[in-house]
Amino acid sequence: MTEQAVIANNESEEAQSGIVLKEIKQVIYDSRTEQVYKIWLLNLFMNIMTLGIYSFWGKTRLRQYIVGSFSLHGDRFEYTGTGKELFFGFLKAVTVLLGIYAPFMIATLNAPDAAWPALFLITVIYVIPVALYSALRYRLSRLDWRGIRFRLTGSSLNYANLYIWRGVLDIISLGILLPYSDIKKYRHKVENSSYGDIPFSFEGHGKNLMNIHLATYAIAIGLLFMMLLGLQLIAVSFPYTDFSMAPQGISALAVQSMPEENSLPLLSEKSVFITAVTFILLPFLLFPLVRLMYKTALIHEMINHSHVAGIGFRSTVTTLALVKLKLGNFFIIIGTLGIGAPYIMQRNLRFFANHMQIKGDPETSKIRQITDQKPADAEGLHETLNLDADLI
Amino acid sequence: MLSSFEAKFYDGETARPRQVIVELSCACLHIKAQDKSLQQNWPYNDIKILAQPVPPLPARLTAKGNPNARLYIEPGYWRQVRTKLPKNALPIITLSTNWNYLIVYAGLSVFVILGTVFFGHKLLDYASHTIPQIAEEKIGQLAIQSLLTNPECVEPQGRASLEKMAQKLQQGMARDIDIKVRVISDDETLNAFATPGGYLVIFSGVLKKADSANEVAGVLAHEMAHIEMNHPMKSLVRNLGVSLTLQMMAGNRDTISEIAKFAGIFRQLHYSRQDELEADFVGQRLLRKARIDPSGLKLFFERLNKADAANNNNNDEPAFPVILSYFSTHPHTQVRIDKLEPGKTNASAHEKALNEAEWHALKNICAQKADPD
Repeated sequence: MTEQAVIANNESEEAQSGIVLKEIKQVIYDSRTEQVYKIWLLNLFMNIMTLGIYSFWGKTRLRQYIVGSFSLHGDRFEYTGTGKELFFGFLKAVTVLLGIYAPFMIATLNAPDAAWPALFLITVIYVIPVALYSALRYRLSRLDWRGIRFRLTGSSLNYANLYIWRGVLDIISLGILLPYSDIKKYRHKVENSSYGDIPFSFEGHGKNLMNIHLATYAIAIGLLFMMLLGLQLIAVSFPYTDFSMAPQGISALAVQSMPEENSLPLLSEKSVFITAVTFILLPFLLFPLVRLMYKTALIHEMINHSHVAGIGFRSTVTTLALVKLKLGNFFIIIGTLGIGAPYIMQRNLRFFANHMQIKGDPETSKIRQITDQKPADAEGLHETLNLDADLI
Repeated sequence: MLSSFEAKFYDGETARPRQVIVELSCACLHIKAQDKSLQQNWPYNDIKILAQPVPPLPARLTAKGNPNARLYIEPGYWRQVRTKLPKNALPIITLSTNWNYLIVYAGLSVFVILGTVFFGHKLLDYASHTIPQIAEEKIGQLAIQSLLTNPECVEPQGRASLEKMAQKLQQGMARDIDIKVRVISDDETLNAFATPGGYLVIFSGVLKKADSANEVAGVLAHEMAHIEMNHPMKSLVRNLGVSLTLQMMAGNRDTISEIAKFAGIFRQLHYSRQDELEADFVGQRLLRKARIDPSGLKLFFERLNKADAANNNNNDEPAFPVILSYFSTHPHTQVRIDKLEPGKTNASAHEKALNEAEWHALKNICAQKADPD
């Protein structure tokens, strides 16, 4: 879908529902890449000099700059987290993780060959979802707009239960139910979020994504067959080549059936080989691209159906734009050996801002600051596990 | 003179943004809305600077009495406000991102990296001595269990010969540690190793290849010298310490840590080569103290070298040029042979490591095997 088509589609939806929202505003991201690089370099050098201890303060500084560069209706966002919070959150998480691993390690030392110490690791499956949820809770609580902060309520354990249960269902259903899982997990997060005292709401549904999901699923199966065909082609056309992976019996048979003289002209042999290799390699390139179609639909479902305080959101992401972004990032990473990382971050953030629209202006005088304590837990677990996931 | 300008104000109670006029009086910052719906005075001493402006981002101020309130001041007006505010309005440390400063930081980090690479191992070696014996013992047990899959050779007479040889050599050791020697059945492996906790393993290939008990004693003495010098624990702590330090420095930035790891490996190899040469030297001392001919190890190496050469088209040259040894964990055998003292042929000063019957028993130690526990 092109961007115009997406907008037209969304507008017709609005017309049908009878709601005509007064104004559409673009999210603005106006940071300067030079400044991002300066902060990145400062963090790099300070981390070396402090054996990484500075990283908590460095991360905070970068976040302050990036978050402050986002604005909506002329008002900037603000990140109010501190390095100290991240540092102590990290220490706390290390303690928690040690508490989880210690029984396992002690048991392993005493019974090195036994399998039962692994039972102690069952709690570990909870660690990742709990880390993701509490990191999101921390980040939202440190995000302000117009002097009012965001908030995420709900228990991380409930989220972890949902996360694990959906993971099990995804495996049992061979991925067929993935859209339902994606939406349910997202719904849990959105419906527990609020801006000031106004909660977010979400009306998206997994079934809206089933068509595109099943279509890309079918294409994925097709690509798998294409790959198998390529492998088959190689095995049949070049039986005398020694493939260490081929079982001895099969290759011995194949060698027997080989014509005594190679009667195939060289060109045809080459073209068969090229076809086979293309069949094998193309799916590796095509599969991620095809799945980006689902990703686009998922983003639209998530963003377009979320609301807060009279504000609606609209994503103008298209598959083509996502493909361009991802391919560009891929080549920049390869071409710059990591020096391009801040530039990629900039590309991603600009992409996010450029494809995010806001409908309506909230009645701001009615939105009040929540007076409860900010959550003290920083994102230590998230940091310790080095999870690098999209949090929202 | 009273100067004034426009700014953005959020009261921190509702989400209502306000365009305000800010006036700088002598004692406070005077904030008022154009429609007169708001009027506040922020004494300069109560103001906290949350962020200095980084164009296009404005400066962010708050006041002690109302930490949720925000005043956003555009970069153009910042200078005149800044001069009014006390020094303690800023956070204690704010590192500058000016290019000049960044260049200084870059230079200092190079200095720190070089210091770590060249002197870090001394600190780590010191740390390796502080590890309690009981922990070392456990680590050794785990290492042995994970490394050994082949059965152990346990023929009783052979074991007795081995113990006798080990006891003789241990007399010369200054370190108080229980040495546990094992022969592992693997005729193809010409190797022996020591782990933390005094565990020592010889593969049966060594016994098969050796021509005399003195050669085996040489190999045993070399490994015991590793234990005497605490090399296994040192190398463990070094490897762990180096990779940990570099990861910490890189702060999880993957590319940097990869590059750093590469540099670290070169240093590690160098330590190991030094350790090997040191163990050769100390091993000879142990042999002399046990009154065993110290030329055993040298003879064994020469045999290895000849085997290498035989594999290499019967050429008399060693299989690898000496220069390559700089990139390997073990020094080239020729280098080690050259560094070992020439064998003293004064037979009256030395005893044989084992008598003929004991040596025969040791060679036969794999007649009885036990599965690894």
